[in-house]
Amino acid sequence: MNKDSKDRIERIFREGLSDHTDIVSADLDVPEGTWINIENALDAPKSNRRGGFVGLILALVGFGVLVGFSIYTMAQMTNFQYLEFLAIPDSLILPHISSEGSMIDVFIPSKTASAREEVVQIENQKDQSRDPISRNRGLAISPHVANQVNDDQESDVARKAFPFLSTKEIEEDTYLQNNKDGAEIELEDFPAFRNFGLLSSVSGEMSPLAKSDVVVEGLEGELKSSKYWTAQLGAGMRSNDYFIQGNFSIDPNTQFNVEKRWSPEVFLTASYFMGKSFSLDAGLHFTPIQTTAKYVFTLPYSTAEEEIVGNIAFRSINHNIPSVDGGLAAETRLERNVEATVEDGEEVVLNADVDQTQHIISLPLSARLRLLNLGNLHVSAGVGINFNLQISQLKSEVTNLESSLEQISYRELVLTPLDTRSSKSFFMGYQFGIDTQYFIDNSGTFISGSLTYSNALSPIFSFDNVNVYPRSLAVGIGIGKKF
Amino acid sequence: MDDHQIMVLINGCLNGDRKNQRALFDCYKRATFALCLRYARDKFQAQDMLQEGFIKVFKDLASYNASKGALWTWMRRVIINACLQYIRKNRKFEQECFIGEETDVVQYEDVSSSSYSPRDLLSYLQQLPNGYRTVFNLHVMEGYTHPEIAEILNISINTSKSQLSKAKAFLRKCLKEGNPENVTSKLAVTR
Repeated sequence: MNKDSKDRIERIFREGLSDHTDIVSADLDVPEGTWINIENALDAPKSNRRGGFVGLILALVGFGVLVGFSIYTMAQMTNFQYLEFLAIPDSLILPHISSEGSMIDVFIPSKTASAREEVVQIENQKDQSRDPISRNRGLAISPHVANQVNDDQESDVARKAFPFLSTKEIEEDTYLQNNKDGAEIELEDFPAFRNFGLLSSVSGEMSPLAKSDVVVEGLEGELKSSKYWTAQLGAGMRSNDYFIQGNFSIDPNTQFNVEKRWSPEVFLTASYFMGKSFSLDAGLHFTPIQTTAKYVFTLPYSTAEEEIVGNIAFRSINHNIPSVDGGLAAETRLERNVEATVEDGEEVVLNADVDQTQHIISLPLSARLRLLNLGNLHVSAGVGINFNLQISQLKSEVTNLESSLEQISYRELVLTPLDTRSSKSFFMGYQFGIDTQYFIDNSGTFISGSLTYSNALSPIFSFDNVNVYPRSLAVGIGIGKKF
Repeated sequence: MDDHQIMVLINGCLNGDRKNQRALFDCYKRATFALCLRYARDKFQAQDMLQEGFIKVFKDLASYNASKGALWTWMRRVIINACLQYIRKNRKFEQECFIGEETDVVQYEDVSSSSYSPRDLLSYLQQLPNGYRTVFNLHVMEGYTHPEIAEILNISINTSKSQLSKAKAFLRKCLKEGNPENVTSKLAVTR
């Protein structure tokens, strides 16, 4: 091919098509109705396609805000329940004290029924427990008071530790007056407590302040234990393949099959436990979808089109092949020694293994139910949906190329995407799975393991009646913490 | 139409005056349709491209700066962008088979510019697969370099070169054999 001929082709088209009046003549004029369509489009309200996407984002943000608000509200409600029966004026407390009464009557007025029930429950548990700390969860002393005392150890400890007592009562109590620094106060020695016997089990060398702290912590823990956050970071492996709905209209001389491959994955997950057994999870996963495409091409080998350099005869064959993300331009180069005879037009069957990769960012949202509680080991099952964004186009790497003709001494396959679209696919799917958490210490640190199956509900790629849906089975391990 | 008349039209269009918009459309519709025909597979696609192009022209007209060039130069760029966007949007998958390239060299004396009507040339061009046609248009008709085409189409420079080479090989055959159908029998296109 000489350059003049190439340039001449360019010149013929450049000159021939440069004048629009030659092209657009009576029988190829601007179609009628074009202006009406333009006018209608200018009058129409703006497309809501972008609005739909913005709506989806807003819905996700809204979901997050809702969950966050729920958590905040529940935390506030817990604190209210807790504080409501702590901040009780003397006038409400003292009239309830009697020798037949209980501390619950002292601390909780009748209007706070829910708080009262909660403390009754704690009282019942207390009796069954051997732990001296948990047995005294019924004693509620405001952390504010405790802090005040910590700040001012030399002040009137008893007054601050027992705000429900009047000044006169404290002054009249000889025992408290003799131990104003709080160092040797024993709660069972305090007359009001002695009468009700609720704190008789508190003993040892703890000061009332220390006891208050312990009790407050215990009570808070009890009230808040069923609602908490966990966050975990993990990595795993994902076995991917594609479900291809419909048939690619491919050359009958090309066979195409996609096989599973394992891919690495990293993830970050936040879970909000709304009860001891139920949680809502949201996460961010990054994974490449890796598969191996197996191709079998049958190509005619024309010796007439070979180029010969020395004792090597070679030819390049350009053909196109399908993939799960659009067509690929394939350039196959075959070489033979000139002494190795090949019949003109003889068919060459080539088997090609092509590793293909697409990078995906996934946002899964799921609900999880705890199935088993075996001490520190928890087993849960979950189901949910996921939103996925393809952040890279399909990358192809030929890993194996075999020829049916022994005479072919060298073969090479170069693949280039035909599809020049700039936008990336967005697709959604569902997932379900099972996971375990093992709490390794009392600070709430845990290790986790999971097994999840996911499948796309909308295609990552579609053309005509062909839809391609990614699906995968993932195993992961992670480390997390309870907050 | 002189510069003053064009400026009057532009101002009218910027104020949303439908009569001025219609006048601008009528003034440039043939030239822009011819442009779209080169990028399209047929006149129906070209009509879609023309519509989308003019909608973009009216929406973006405020960004036109008369001191930087003629209106037609600006409009041409906007219309070409609309054509490329249309091709990207509508070309999800094409399975194209194009076996055997540049085997029949068309000699210099075989082809001369006077032998072919613009309609024939357009017909040959429209037979090309989208990728080949787009690269050929950008390089040969618009004068873009391969690095520029690679950036515009988000492909590699080599792909741009390769597609141009294949496009020319196809067009040479068309010019030699005269009937694109003869050539397209070797070109299995799934659309």
